[in-house]
Amino acid sequence: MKKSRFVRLCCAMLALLFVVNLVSCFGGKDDNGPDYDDPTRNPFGKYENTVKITGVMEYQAHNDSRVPQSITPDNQAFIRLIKEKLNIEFTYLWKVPPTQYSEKLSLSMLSNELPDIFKVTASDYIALKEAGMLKNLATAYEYASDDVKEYLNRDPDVINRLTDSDGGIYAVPQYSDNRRGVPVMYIRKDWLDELKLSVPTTPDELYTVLKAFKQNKGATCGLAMSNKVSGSYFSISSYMNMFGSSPYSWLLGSDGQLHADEISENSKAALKWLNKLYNEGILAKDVAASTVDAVQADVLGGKCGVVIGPWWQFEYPLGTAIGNGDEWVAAEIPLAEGKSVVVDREQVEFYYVVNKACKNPEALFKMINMYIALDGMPEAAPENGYVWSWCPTQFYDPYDINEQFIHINKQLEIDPKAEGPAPENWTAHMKKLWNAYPEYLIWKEDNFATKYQENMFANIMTRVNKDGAWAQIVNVYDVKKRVVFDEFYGISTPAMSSKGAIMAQEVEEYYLKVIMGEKDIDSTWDAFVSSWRRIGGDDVTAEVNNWYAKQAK
Amino acid sequence: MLLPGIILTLIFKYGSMFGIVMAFQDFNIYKGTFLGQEWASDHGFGNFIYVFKMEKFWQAVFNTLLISGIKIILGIIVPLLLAILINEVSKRWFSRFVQTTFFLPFFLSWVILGSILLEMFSYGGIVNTIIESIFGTRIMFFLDNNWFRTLIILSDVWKGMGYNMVIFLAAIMGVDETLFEATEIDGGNRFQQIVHVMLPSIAPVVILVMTLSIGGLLNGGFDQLLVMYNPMVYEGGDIIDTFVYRLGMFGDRQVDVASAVNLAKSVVTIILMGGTYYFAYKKFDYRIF
Amino acid sequence: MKIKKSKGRIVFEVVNYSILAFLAILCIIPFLHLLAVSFSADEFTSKGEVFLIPQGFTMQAYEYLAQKKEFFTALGISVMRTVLGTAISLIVIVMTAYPLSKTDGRFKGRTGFTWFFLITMFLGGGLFATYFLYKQLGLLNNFLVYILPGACDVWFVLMMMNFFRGIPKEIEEAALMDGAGQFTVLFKIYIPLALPSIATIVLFTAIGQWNSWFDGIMFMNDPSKYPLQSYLYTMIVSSDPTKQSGFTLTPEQLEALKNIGGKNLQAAQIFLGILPIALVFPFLQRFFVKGITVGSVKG
Repeated sequence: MKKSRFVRLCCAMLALLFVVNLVSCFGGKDDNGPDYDDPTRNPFGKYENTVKITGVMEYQAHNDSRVPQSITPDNQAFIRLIKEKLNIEFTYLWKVPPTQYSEKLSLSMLSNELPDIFKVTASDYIALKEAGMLKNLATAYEYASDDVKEYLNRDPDVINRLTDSDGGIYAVPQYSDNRRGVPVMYIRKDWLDELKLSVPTTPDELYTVLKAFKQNKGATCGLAMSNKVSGSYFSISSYMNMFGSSPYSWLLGSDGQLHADEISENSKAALKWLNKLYNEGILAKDVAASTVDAVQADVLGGKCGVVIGPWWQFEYPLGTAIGNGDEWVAAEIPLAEGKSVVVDREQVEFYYVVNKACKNPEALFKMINMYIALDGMPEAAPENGYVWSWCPTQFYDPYDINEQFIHINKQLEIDPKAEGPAPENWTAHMKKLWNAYPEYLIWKEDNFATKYQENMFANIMTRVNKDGAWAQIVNVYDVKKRVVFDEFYGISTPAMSSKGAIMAQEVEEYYLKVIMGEKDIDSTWDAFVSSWRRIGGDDVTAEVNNWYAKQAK
Repeated sequence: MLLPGIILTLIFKYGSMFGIVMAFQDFNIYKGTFLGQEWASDHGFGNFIYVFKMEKFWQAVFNTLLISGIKIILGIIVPLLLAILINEVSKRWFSRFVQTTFFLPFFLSWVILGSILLEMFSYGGIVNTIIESIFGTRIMFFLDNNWFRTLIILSDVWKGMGYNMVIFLAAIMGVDETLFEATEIDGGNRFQQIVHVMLPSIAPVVILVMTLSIGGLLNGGFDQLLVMYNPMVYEGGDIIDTFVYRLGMFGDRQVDVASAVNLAKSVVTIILMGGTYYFAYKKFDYRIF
Repeated sequence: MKIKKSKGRIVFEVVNYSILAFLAILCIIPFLHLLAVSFSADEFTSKGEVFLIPQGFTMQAYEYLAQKKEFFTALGISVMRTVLGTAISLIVIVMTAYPLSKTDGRFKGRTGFTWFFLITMFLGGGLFATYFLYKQLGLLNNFLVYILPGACDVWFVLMMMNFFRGIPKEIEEAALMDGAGQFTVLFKIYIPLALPSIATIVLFTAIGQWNSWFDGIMFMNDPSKYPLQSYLYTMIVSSDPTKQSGFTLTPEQLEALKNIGGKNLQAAQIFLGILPIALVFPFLQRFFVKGITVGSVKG
């Protein structure tokens, strides 16, 4: 019969496929031979025999016209330089756009083709470590150059928490300054002057200012939902921070327990304030569907007078508005009385890890050393084919912006016009800021008549100026010490994984309905809180506190 | 003659079907392979039970059926009407021009089209400005569940109408001219010709497209909703795929749950298709496929 | 066929033309918008002031693209996969659809085969299993991955089958009587008769090939092998600032954010990405003409 022959053919082929798959499932890398060792632990030591290292890449096209057209991620200067100077032959297993990185990495794990060194998130790091797939980097750490060691030790807590009790350490963290989490208020100074108002320092004063802006300028407030309460810039959560509220954070209560901030009294107060704004027409009528693009258009089109957001808003996108002649200034976030800004306890951007099968874990450090040593060197110029955003081991000083702020200001006390040369030991970026400073002063004193250099000037307004964006953060964080910490930095607990999505949905729906006046907050708040607890809030809270108790030990 | 098709399908489609086991596993990507995984709880059905127990899931199922159902119906009727209307156009250049333009929106992805629509239909957007000048009021398209569904459905029908239109046009082209001539001699006017000659002739194609569309009943348009929805319209706009997507964003990579939902969707779809096929065959002695 | 124009007919035509023209305008607006944005200066586009008329006319975006090598490499790959992919798919689809269009009496097990294909429309192993399979088959980072896996698209097979069915059996029987083989019947009779439907399949397959971006990103290891749509994805979607985690951008993310390039550049790329495939349709339209009907051939 024709049919049965067909069926048999199918079965045979399927069986074949399965066998092929099975074989490859079991085949692993062999683990023989000792690791490389160099008793001098030279951070820049050149290997005698070429060492082959594989990696992966989050690919994003660069837009730097100075880089020659023939340059690709595989032949760019950094790859060439580590071959010349370290004798490391680096190849990429794959390159993928950032949005697909985690998916592609999963695929690599599943098909047993992990690269030698790669970048992971906190939860991936912990899971991979538990699965025994990572290399112990304890010896490799000794290869770190002085600069890298200094960077890593800026916050010794981070390294301490990473190190096991037996001294094993399985990742190199790129953490960052949690000052970056402090929101800054940006406001139209020219409008304030025109309306004879002063810079608001409390939410109530801000409300008055916003109302005046609305009446006189028809301006709204820079706030976009983009589908979620927190996350992207122009977000609701940065406004809620005025009331010491930060949804999805875990704050330490007076009872010694961690509490979810979604249901805190602070959040309630913040929502009430936002609802007031909505009723006044200061928020967009359809704020729930507002996009970052729309707010940006308002900002640039002179239809928005206040933005509360991250430290870098001068650099993007307010810098453009300033270039157009709008006078935006930075100010401290107007905190409600007795309230503090919520920032992360630990802010790790990502971890570098090394595959267990790799024989040269120290190569990771040598490459990081090289990346930092090359900063600002002539051979690392774009014209020579160096694309820093394509380097496989980017690493930076976690406190870079704060360092820039402190050191440049210290030097400005001696040399207020930045006429002398920049100190030799500064980083390349600090020198760049320093060199641009005189031109910035001219631009400012000439009443903005000279040519505006968007990138550099915005950098100076953010990172150098005493009334700049970073200065406001320092005031809140270091001077007034009005910060509290989000104490939870573990990976998702089981209840978070299984119920988090439903809980978040409840929160986002409720918040929006309250802001837009569809629900009255006073009469529905308690019901919201108890519903949140019922659908998983209590379970998650218990697990988080369990975790917290363990950390304390 | 079938061989190339069979081989390709066998290798590429059936070859990867072992992936279905994921739906019954407690899948942990860090364990490396498919073999080393543990079975899910409840005799392997843990992933299914986990999702089916969520109340919001059934809300999403309802929305999916509603949105998708209307999309399918309009997605047949509108293109069919267009095809008939275009067929009546005697000016060739106009017919060609219109066909081409109807096809254009199809080329734009939802990411791009969605952001254009968000801008145009926003409260202060151009559409609302026009509406206000006519009706004196503005509509919050993205906040009201009913308006939102309407917008989602209509924009999807609009975007996809060129596609089915071409299929129907091709079918109309294939209708035997002599049949028309016969009715003309019998004194039938154009409308009667369309109803009595053209529609029955292209019915097989319409039925095929309809049946195949039913295959998408549980989809509803993930890309589109992801760009255009917001928490205010979860109630009326959240579909199965967006719901599962959000689950995955909070739980770390819940690929096993997602594949369980997909498997459940597939099984339901195959039953639906089989049912349609069987019904057409038994009742009308007609084979769709 | 001439239709005598009655009064009703004229009214109908006016209404018909207006409806179609109105809908055509609706369909063309997003494109005019994109085109306007692509020719506008950034200071206007970022304020959202451009709708259908370019503000501060500039060709800067196109000039920039004209010297962008990656854009043209990707374009070349797209053209190649579209031409090759469409040709191969068409052969496979026609060859698969033809036997399936026969009646059960003529081809035993037809229903079984149909369902064999049909099931794959709804049941799949998912991305992980697919990736694994492609790896075993050596298709990763291989141009063939664009062509082979999708070559036998069931949707199109079924559609083709349906069109074939509409061709009267008598023609085939007559040919077989004359001693022609099945291949001859297919190529000499069925294909010429089914030209409008084949044009449809060509159109859809070509569009499918042109528009797919995910396979490039997932199964290619190097952006230099991406087709145009995958390349555009890296340029536009994945650099979307709203996808970044707001507050704590790393310097690298911040740099990327600044580097997105103006909206005019994005619009120009989207527009150029659509243009080649949009031109295919008018070209294929000449196969959509009446005249090649069964009746005329029969007579």
